[in-house]
Amino acid sequence: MRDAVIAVWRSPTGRIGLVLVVLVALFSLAGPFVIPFEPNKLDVLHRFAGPTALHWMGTDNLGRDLAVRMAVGGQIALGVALSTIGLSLVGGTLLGIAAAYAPAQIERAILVVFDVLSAFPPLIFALAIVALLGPGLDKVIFILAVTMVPHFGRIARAQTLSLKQAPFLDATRVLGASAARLVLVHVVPNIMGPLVVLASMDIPVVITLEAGLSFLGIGVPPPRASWGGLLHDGYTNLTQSPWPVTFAGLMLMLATLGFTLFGEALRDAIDPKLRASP
Amino acid sequence: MSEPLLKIRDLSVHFRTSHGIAQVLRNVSLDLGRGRAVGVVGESGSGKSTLAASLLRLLPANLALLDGTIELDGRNLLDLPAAETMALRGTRFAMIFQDPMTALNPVFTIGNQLVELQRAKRPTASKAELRERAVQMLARVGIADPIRRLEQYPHEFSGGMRQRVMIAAALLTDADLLIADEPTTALDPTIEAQIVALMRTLHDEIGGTLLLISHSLGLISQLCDDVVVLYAGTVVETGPMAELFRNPLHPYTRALIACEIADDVTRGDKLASIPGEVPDVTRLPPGCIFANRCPDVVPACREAVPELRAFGPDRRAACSRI
Amino acid sequence: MQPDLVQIQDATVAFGRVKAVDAASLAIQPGETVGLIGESGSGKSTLARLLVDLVRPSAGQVRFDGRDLATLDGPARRAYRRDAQMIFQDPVASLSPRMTIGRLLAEPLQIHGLDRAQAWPGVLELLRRVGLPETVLGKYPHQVSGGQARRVGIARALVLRPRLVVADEPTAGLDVSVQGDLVNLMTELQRDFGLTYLLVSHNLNVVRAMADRFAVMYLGQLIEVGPAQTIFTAPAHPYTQALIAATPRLDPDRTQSHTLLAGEIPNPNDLPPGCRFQTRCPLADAHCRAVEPPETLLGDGRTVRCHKPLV
Repeated sequence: MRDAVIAVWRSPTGRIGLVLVVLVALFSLAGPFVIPFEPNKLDVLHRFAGPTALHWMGTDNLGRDLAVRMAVGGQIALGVALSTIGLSLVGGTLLGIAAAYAPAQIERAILVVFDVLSAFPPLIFALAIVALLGPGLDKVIFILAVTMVPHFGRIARAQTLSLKQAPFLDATRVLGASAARLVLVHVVPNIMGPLVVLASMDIPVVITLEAGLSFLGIGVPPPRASWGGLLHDGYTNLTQSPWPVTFAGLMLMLATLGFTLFGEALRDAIDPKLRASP
Repeated sequence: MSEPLLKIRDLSVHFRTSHGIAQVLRNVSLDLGRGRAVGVVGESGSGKSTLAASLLRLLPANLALLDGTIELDGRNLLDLPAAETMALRGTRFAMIFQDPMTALNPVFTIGNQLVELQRAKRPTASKAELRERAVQMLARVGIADPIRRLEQYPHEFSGGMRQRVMIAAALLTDADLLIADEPTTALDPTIEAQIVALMRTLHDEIGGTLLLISHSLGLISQLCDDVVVLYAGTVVETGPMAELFRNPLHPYTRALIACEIADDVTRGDKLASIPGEVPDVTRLPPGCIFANRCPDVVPACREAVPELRAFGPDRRAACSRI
Repeated sequence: MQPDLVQIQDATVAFGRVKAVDAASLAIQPGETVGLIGESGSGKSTLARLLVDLVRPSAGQVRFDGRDLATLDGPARRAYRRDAQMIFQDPVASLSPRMTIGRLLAEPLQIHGLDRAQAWPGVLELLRRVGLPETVLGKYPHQVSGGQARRVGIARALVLRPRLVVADEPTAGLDVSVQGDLVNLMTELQRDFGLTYLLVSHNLNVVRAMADRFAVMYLGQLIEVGPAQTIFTAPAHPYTQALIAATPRLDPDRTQSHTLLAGEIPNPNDLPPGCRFQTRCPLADAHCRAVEPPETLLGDGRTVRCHKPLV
């Protein structure tokens, strides 16, 4: 893993990606502490201000400082992305491994579940859930995680199937290892490579999905600042000030670009290594 | 004695690796007599696969050095431009690989492949003519029902059958030189015995020149007229097969022969082996390459690389202690 | 005579319609080495895997120390693992790629709940016995040479101090100049640890140097079983004879005449009635093609499955 990150640093695009990711993360985490404004503090007298020394990114339609709201939005974006991917990675991997080892009927059932889940476009699914249960951050994470389970599950299953024949699994079984040990200690670490790459390449996807849901109003509900929400508010008030849309769009773009470049470099770093074992 | 078909003189091949320059072959010289079967004895690390690859100019990209001459009919193959080298493959040289599955294209029928490969030498022949030659050659290598087999795909043949197809393919090229690189290593013993007998019969009948590369002394003794012993990138001994095996000169050859398990060995007998490991060709020791494992070593051995000296009209060995 | 350590009785292993092992019976005495010989498709690997519970018989029994393996419950089965271990054919591939050698050697102790502090000196001793330096403990399988990986595999198989060790093609891929070392090592280990070996191989030369008895397999059946020397000097089954003749031998004077077998190994899906060897046997007659030969006991203690044994 460490060699992979070093390899990413060596690749020019990977380095750019890594730097962008670190900058966005730092800004999002440290922003609210450094910037002397509350994200939800209204200051209607100074609304739609442009960037100044006081408000680095200006203010939004209710006079709230944009910079600190961008930072909070970043926290939400990253938080949603990591929790969503974390949940779907774990869920998908377990189901995928189970499918690879289960008897034919159970495997088929799991694959059908995957197919059904992939058939739902995330936005439609989101509309349905929100209609039933109301909006909320946790609902967003749930929706996105569920729709991404098949994504990881199918890869996990394919990787496990090709690993099943490996002599070292037989050897460990002969030593007396239990099924749990075989899966956790021997199968999972050896299939994680492609899954980790997939996960890192999915981060920008989830960020965009969350922004999209929030933009439509079915994601993170206001007044919490999410990038999608900021885009929405900025868009409806575009004639008053271009700054909110500009900065929100820029933040979103830099974050997704950064993670995409990083993920691709990681994939390139891990792939040849997988094949390079003598 | 006619001119050798192929004369290799001072062939050196080095590769660039992450640990430095690997001097895989160093000043290798050998002659392939016309119509003779020459066996190159090589274990792991001997450089035998690089030798075969050099003849066909199929060397990998990290080549650091390619020196020396490989003369075919007086022309140095290493000087030839790429196009001419390609033209040689499949017309003057043919090769049989260790794993026939990877040498045959899985998506074409055997018939298709056997016909196409003949076109290099017979560009104007009709398809029917080439098919007929293919059928006859399949029958000759012992494949029953050859006409039906032409329509089959490589995966429909067993390992032994695929190797027979490879031999048929090589013979169909009418090449002057057949290079076989560990042709029976992947086969079961009873199948290997059949392929060996086939190769011997065909060599006697057709009289082509064979270069057999193998780690198996037994195989080489069954098929070859002359032997070249390759150790860690250099030639340490050459000579006619029976004489070399009956009276080996070089300590490595002697030790290798001693490792063969004799017929009277039973349970519990201690087996001979050569202690130590093949030296790292990126960090060559000074002096004789076999010094660190040689039972007869003296300090002088580590000072200079012994020359390949003559010990009679056909015998050469690179050892200062003989 | 001691009671058998292992008793395989009429064991059959079927995969679909194909019987990889067909009604095979074999007994292994404590301390002996049995060479299980055969070519591809003989079923020898499957038979070997029966002994380490990687495969269960579809019929027949496999008994260890008198106990039928099929009757063992979970904990008893796990305890059995401490008695029977396996050395695999591909040394590097049989080691988990993301674990260091040290972890790989400690794993058997972990699995069986053995006190690591107490048992570790024994593991280090094993490492020394197989000729590996302690520096190898921190390396990963792809970082050690094939020869070293092979020795790691042997050491790991012995960590639990088993009584039976199944070795699958122990010298496959090894140069002749180093295989002697490995064979000598295995013989010494057998003596020092009181091991019983089942050697699976198609290399008769290596098996000869280690085995007390041969068990020759062809298409799922044991066709000749008996003392190694006796079989080697005077094989009873025509297939054994052909296999012995086919073993490559340094023969500068080309004195050997080869009993060549005609034809290929038949498709196990499509077996003819009668003796399975009929398609390639030089002696096959009408009786051979109609009736399957039963296991016959010869005067010298061998069993053969042939209507016309050579002895």
